[in-house]
Amino acid sequence: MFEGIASGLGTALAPFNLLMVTLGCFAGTFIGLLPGLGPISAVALMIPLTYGLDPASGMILMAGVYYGAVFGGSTSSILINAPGTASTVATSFDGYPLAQSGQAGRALALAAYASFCGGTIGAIALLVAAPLLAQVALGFQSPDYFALMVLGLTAITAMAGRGQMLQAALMAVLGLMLGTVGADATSGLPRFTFGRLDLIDGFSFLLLAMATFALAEVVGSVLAGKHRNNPLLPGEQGSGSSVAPVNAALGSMRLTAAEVREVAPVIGRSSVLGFLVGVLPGVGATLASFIAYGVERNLAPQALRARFGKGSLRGLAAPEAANNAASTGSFVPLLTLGIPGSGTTAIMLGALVAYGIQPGPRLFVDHPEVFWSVIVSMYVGNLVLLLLNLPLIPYLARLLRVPTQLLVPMVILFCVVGVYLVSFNTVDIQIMVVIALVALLLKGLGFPMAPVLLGFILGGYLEDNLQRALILYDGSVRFLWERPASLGIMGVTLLFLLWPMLERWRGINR
Amino acid sequence: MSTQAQWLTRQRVGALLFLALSLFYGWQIQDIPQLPVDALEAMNARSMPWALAAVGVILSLALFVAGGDTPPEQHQEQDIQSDAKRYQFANILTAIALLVWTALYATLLGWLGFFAATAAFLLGGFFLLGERRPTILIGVAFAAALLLYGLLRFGFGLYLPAGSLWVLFGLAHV
Repeated sequence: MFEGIASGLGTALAPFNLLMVTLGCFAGTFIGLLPGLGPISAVALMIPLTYGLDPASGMILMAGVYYGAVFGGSTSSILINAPGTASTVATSFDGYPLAQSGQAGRALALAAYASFCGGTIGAIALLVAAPLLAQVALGFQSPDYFALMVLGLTAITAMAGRGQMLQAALMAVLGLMLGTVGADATSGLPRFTFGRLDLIDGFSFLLLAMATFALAEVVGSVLAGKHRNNPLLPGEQGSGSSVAPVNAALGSMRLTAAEVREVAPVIGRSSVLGFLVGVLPGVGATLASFIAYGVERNLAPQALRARFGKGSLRGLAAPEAANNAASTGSFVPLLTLGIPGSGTTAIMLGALVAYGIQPGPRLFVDHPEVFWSVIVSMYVGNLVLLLLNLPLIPYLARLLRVPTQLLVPMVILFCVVGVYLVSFNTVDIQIMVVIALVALLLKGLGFPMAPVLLGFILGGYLEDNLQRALILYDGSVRFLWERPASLGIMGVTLLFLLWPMLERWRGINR
Repeated sequence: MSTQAQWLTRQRVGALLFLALSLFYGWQIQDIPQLPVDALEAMNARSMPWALAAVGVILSLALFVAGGDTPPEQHQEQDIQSDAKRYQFANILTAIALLVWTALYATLLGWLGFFAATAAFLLGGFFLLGERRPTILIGVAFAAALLLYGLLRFGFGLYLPAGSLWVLFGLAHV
């Protein structure tokens, strides 16, 4: 393990990878700041750039973008009450009131410190938990992998909004269906290719990710009318009127010793809680931030409890520490079991596959440089976020004053050129537009997008491992209850699926 | 009219779309070739698609049945916001125009080459989103296209197509 850490340290601290993590954090913060674009879009936008890099550098860049985007989302939550991502919604509860009362600088600083502590505690826990879990998972066989893939699909429960379970499940099925297009991995027989040779290799993950997340998100912001009312521009309607003064005067970024003493235990508790919640496949940073906020509100003394929602430092520190720790925690199932804990890690899983790396417990053995350098880069990334981004926030906020009518076509161009430069096939751009149009239609009908990618990525592995398991067990599915690991994983899967129903039933009984 | 509106909720429209997709997907399974040994195997190239088509149909029907519970307040809210609807219509048109323009960019790439097509795309995109100042339209579009072209061509050393129109007039080489 220590050799692995040393090797990871060597890779992560190589000048080029340091540059990657710095650029990633910077780009992630900038993209995360843009209302409507969250970590998923930010990571999706980076995929074409990582194609020319080695897997370790590519993953380091994407990890940097991920937590940079989470941090950037917090900044827009605090400054303009526009969370870039669902996981920073809880941040706006107290961050925005703090900014409105002229304490934007202190709120941003506290968010940065809490994010740093949450991310660092999460990274330490990841360093301990990931190899242990990977060691256990090394004994897994095809039946257990199949069970793992089924468990991975339960992540849709987190990707689904309230009352969207059926829609999320259907979207996962759509992803699985798209994954079957092309030559069958076992027999090589063409499926759903309609006689077209260019469909033999199936759909490109990059194209699908860029179309459904990056392009559809940006065009979606036009649909939502954000190009008409840029809240970051002075003189605009809506929340914009309060933004210009906030940007003009962020105020002091210093916290007093008493304030540090007050928030330190909150950050510690929320980081541990966030990490544990983030590790659970499909739960993610959003739930972690809300749970931490709720827990801290309940733990706070009566007098301080009333401050929650009106500019409480505890109320800001708790979700910030928790969502960063959870983002780090979501790397545990990704790196050790090959199952994504969130939509963002689903995209990173796809990138690993695109590199020709088989995600799962073997990653720890076959590609230790990727495994360890990603973990070690978390520390570096958190430090970069604190040292580089915090002083740059006022300038980043100014950069966002680029009018939306200029910004949107540039982001679209970036998406399109990213896909075009991989294949140099202009038809890919047209396919991308069609997929984005379908994605917008489905979003308009209330269907979440992330499950499509989850189904698309896991589908191939699911089918492949089921096929192998059936061969091993003479065509019988008895492996599901005969193998302890498979049985255990399927038990957890059932628990994940039944938990929301149990919660609902308990709610009705109350 | 109101009965139709209550019956045809967003969920049900989505459910019908997915039902049609699942049935089409299921129908297409018969086109997947089979190997002689497939009859002896527990799983073949058609097995997973069959399972997915079946699950797709079941879930679509479940969503159709469960999809009629849109709270009545939402309808009232939607009726009140007629101004918002007008804005929504304009936004939909802009979004569609932007997507069509993006698709056209693919065609322009072949004809005009990377630099000219990119500048034209940005110029059109800015215009569609409401920018009307000629200096900004032309200046930003050409500057951004030039920067991107320079970065990709000379920074990353990528080959970028010159454009068949320029080749046709002898102004560029393939």
